[in-house]
Amino acid sequence: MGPLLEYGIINPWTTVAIGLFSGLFFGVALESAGLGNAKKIAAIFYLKDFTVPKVMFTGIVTAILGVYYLDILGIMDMGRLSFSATLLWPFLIGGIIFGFGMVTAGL
Amino acid sequence: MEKENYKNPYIMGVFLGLALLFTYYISGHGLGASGAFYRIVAEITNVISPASTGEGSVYYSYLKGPEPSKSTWLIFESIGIMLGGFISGLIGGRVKWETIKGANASRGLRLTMALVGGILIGFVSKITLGCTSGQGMNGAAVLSVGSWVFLFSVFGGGFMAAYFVRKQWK
Repeated sequence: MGPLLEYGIINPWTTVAIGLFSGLFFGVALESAGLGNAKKIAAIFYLKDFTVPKVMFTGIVTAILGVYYLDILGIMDMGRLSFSATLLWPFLIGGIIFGFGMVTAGL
Repeated sequence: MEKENYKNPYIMGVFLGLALLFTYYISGHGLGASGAFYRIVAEITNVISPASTGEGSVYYSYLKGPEPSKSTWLIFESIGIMLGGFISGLIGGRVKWETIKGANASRGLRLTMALVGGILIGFVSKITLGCTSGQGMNGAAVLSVGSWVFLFSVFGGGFMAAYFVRKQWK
């Protein structure tokens, strides 16, 4: 049952190697969709190109469904997944500043 | 905009979601992009000023524990992202030396804006505990309220600032 590292099924060094592999997938997906291009990223903020939300929200929905069904099927325990605590004001204000940076840098 | 040969964004989105799911399955941690940079900063700070990286400091969580701690794999993951992007660019014939900017914008303006935006993002990612990947997408995938607040704020902030930085894209 996953997460494999949390259940001690694989050792931490294996996850480092697998990290490289997941990064590779991540990079290929982003670049292939056009998100290696700063102009294309910034274009969402001028309503010229909707690649950013298309990729981002399709990815999120895929992952939500995956997490949900893998948990139901007993393949991955969603209670063992780590995510950060919610800090409402820092995330709200910080998110806005992040948005300034995103359209300024095209990152 | 010039002719493009990018892949379908929805299919790439599914691909991205599967990469995230796979990472969750293996390690219980999602993907990230800003974490690796903080690890590097923490390591450098530790060399220059070990006194300021002890327990209770912002650097500590990146340095504590035996190798390989959480952030070690983030560095490898980030190397993977760069390699993956490069391979994908090679296959698509998009690899070339250029500054991506608006046709009428100067190279200096674009690079200055990139630096300013990068500093803003690097600074604020520490406040939001991650970037659009590490905080936004990972948390959104497990329906964390904070991550959704963050994501919508990012888009809100982007639209607010867009008018003021438009010259570089024109």
